[in-house]
Order: sequence, then C-alpha cells, then structure tokens
Amino acid sequence: MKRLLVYATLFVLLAGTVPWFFLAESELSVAGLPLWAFYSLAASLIFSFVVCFCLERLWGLSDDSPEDTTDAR
Amino acid sequence: MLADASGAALLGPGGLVAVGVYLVALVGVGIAGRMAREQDSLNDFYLGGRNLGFFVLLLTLYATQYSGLTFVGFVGQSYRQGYGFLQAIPFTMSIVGAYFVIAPRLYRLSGSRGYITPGDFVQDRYESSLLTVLTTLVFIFALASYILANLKAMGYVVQEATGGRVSMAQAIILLSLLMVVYETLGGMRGVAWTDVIQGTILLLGCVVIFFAIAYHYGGPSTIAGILQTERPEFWRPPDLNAKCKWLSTLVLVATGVSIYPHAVQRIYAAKSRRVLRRSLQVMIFMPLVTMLPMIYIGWVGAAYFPGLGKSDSEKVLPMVLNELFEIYPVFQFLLVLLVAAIIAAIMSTVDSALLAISSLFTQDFYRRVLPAAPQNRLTRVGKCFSWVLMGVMAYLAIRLPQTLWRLTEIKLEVLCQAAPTMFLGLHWARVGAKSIVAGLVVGLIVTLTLLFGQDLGVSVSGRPWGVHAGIWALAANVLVVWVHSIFVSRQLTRRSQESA
Repeated sequence: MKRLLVYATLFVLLAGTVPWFFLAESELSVAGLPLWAFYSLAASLIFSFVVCFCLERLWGLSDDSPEDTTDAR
Repeated sequence: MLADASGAALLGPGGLVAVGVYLVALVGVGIAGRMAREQDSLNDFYLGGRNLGFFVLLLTLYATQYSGLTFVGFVGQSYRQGYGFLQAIPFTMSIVGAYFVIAPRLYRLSGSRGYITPGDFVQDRYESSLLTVLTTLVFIFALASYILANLKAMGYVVQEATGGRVSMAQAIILLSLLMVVYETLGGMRGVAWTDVIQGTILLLGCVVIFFAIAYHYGGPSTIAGILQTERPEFWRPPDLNAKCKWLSTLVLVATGVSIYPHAVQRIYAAKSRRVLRRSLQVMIFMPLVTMLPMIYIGWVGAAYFPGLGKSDSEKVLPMVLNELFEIYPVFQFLLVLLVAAIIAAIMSTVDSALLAISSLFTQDFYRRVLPAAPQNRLTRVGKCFSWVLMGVMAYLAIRLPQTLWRLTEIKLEVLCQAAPTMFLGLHWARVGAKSIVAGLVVGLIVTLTLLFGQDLGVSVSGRPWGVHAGIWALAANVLVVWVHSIFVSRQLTRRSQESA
C-alpha cells in the first residue's frame, strides 16, 4: 500500500508540472519567464528532487525486499 | 538542416580533420574494449560483464538518452512553441521517475537470474513463449525505427555540415560501418566507453554553446523583454487541449522510453546497486544542463531571427553560432564542437540500439531455438547479425519510401503497449501471461486503429482531445489486463472451492 501511495504521489507531482491552473495571459514574469512557465520549471525541479530522494531512501520499497546493508548483487 | 542561412558548409578543412580524428578515435576505443574482454560470453559481450562503474554508467545512460534531436529538432520546436516547450524538461525527468519504479527489482533479478535482455525477464516472470516473442517483436520494431530515424538524421547532418562534399548516402554508409566495427569489437564495453567520449562532447557542447550565446545575446530577462513585444503569443498559457497533450506526452515518454531494451540492459550492466542509484540520481538533473540550454537557444532565435518557417527554424542553432563567429572569430571552434556533438549524440543512440537488437535476436530467438549452443558461438552469431542488420538499416535509411517513414514515427506509441508487461509484471504478483497478452493485443489494435483508421476509411481522430493514440491504447490495455486478471482469479477461486 505504501508503495502505491509513493507511486501515486510521484504521478501527481509529474502531472503537476502541467500549468493546469493558469488560464489567462499575465504580464507578470519571474526570472525572465512568464509566471506559468516559471511554475512549470519549479514544479519539474520539485519532482526531480523528490525522485532523487526516493532513489536514495525508498529503493527497497520498489525492490520489495528489506534494505540489505551490502551493495553486492 | 544544419548549413547556415546561405547554405555554406559549417566545417572548413580544419573542422573536418578534427571530426575525422574524433571518429577514428572511436574505433580505437572499440579495440580497447575488446582487449578488456574477460570471457567470450553473452554476459560479457552484451552487458560488459555487469561491471559498469558510476562514471561510465552515467555517461552511457546520458549519451544514449539524448539524440541529435536535442540539437536540431528541440531548438526548432522551442523557436516555434516558445515557453510552452519547457515541457521537454519534465518529459525527460519522467523517464528517471519510471526507472525508480522498475530499476530496483529488475537490477536485483537480472543478477540473481542471469538476465541478458528484457525478454529474459518476460520469460522468467510469465513462463510464456508467446508473450516473450510478442514483446520482443514490439521491442525490435521500436529499436529498428529508432535506428532508421537516427541514421537518416545523421546523413542529413553530415551532408549539410560539409556543404554537400559528403553526400547523405556516403555519410550513412561510412558512419554505419564505423559503428558496427567498434560495436562488434568491444560489445557493450566498447559502446559504453565510446559513450563516455560522446557523452562528454555532448555535455560540453550544450554548456559551452549556451554560455557563448548567453554572453552575446543576453540572459532570459533580456530575451523575455524582446519576446513580449515580438511574440506576445508565447506569454499565453497553453489551452486545455495543449495541457492534455502535455500530460499525455509525459506518460508516453515515461512508459515508453524507460523500457527501451538498451536502457533496461544498462540497468542490468551496473556494477552495483549503489552505482545504479547514484547514476540515476544524477541523470534526473541532466535535462537542466542539456535540454534547458537548447530550449533557451530556441527563444534567442525567436527573439533575434523572427519569421522563420518550420524547416528554417531547425537551422536556428547554426545561424546563431555563425553570427557569433562573424563577431568573435575565436568562437569558430564552437561550430566544430556543435557538429561533433550532434554526430556523437546520434551515434551513441544508434550503437546502443544496434547492440540491444542484436542481443534480442541472439538471446530471445536464436538461443530459444538452439538452447545448447555454446557461448562463443552465440556471441559470433550476435556479431554477424549486427553486420547484417546494420547493412539493412543503412540501405533502408537511404532508400525507404517516404510513406513508410510514418511507421518510424509511431515507435513510442507502439512500445508503450509493452509497458504493462514490465511494470505490472514487476509489481503485481497476481497478473498472468494470458491477461498481459490480451492487453497487449488490444493495445496494439487500438493504437493502429486510431493512427491509421482514417487511411482505412474509419472516422477517428489520431489524437482525441489532445491525448496520443498510444495513451488511449495503453488505458484500454491496462483495463483489459485488470478485468481479465480479476475474472481469471475468480474462476480459480471458484474451482478451488468446488474441488474442496
């Protein structure tokens, strides 16, 4: 169940890179990008950091075996 | 595609020599790969003895994932689409997200069960020859399409960069020969080592070209100021149809690209779990130093070279570099770096796909027919197959009728139909071969009906509501697998109750 929850969270974060809630044009810009483009780039960065964390800490969850202490196969 | 606006050659005699030296060096790396061979076995030839360290694994994953499209197609796309093309960043990151789902268990199983190809996992998991053959055929179709499209792009690049002194056909034949030589000499080790050179050139090319262009044309804020006046439509957020297409592409890329056999074999080939984990952790940030600079150059082109059509917009990068070169002659080396980086990106993609397709033939077909064949004969068969395959691919890249090229454009939509075989097979113990076969067949039928229905007189859209045909088909595929699995499991429960 925890594994499904982690995968669902990753999918939501990935889908969240689409600027769903930006409907109208705005002249507001951040770091040289329109606000919606900046949002998308920031959301991509969040997704990448979360995946990086998952690879570090939740590897055993995807392997579905207890984390062993050795690196050998 | 690549010549500057006047159609003149990008490379002078000095540049041609530099690119030539680089290409010859690749054969030297192939020879080094052969000398490092530990045994004459499929494990050593196709997986480098499962001994790829962090640096080599990272660069081979990197060089294989990015093709010539990064420099040519993506810059042009960014020129035309503006800020909306930032979506290419999460597309590329989504592949590593998918690796998190499949790589940990695939890596462990590949070591303990001795997998060479993805087909080995399919056979081991489902014990169904029909499913293994079907899945392998889907993989071969996707890889062959990938090789064909890249060979053709490579021919164009060389022809344009040399101003026609080397024709497209000559370039395809010469570079195909070069790739098959170092691939059959060094196997995975040779390909991965050449990927180290190619990946380094690719990375250097992206970063150096980005800084040179930002230095002359200005940073994102300067470009944004110009684009706000010149291309106000870039500032509009995508409409609902474009957003659906964005999400559909994310799913298509994540489920398709992550199961490319050459990608899966790199998971098998990692030296240790730590090496694989570290490589993937770095890989997820690589779009920021590869895709982002190319997307930015597209915006620079839109700001300073407005009004280009689709075909001319793909020449934006050499146009920008040529202007830089006229102002700062010292930047001439950038043109050589660009051509070398594009060739490197394409070659690293083609050689990996070639090696993977050769392993699929040897391990999943030949060895299944002749299970007692010794390892040295199997590697010899694989090498011979590589030569024949490369010959056929080079011929088709030069001669394939335009109408058949459409087939090569649907490779990801077909490939992602094999995703449930891998993803569900790894994480859903109850799913069986019959359910997966039923889903795969339905998925392929839906994909082809949506894509080619109009040609056959069926009134269907190839991309309903902006969602790719492959994603509708994948949804149908998973639904069939789910319904069939529940039906079969209920039948089994009923039978066991009756017999009790």
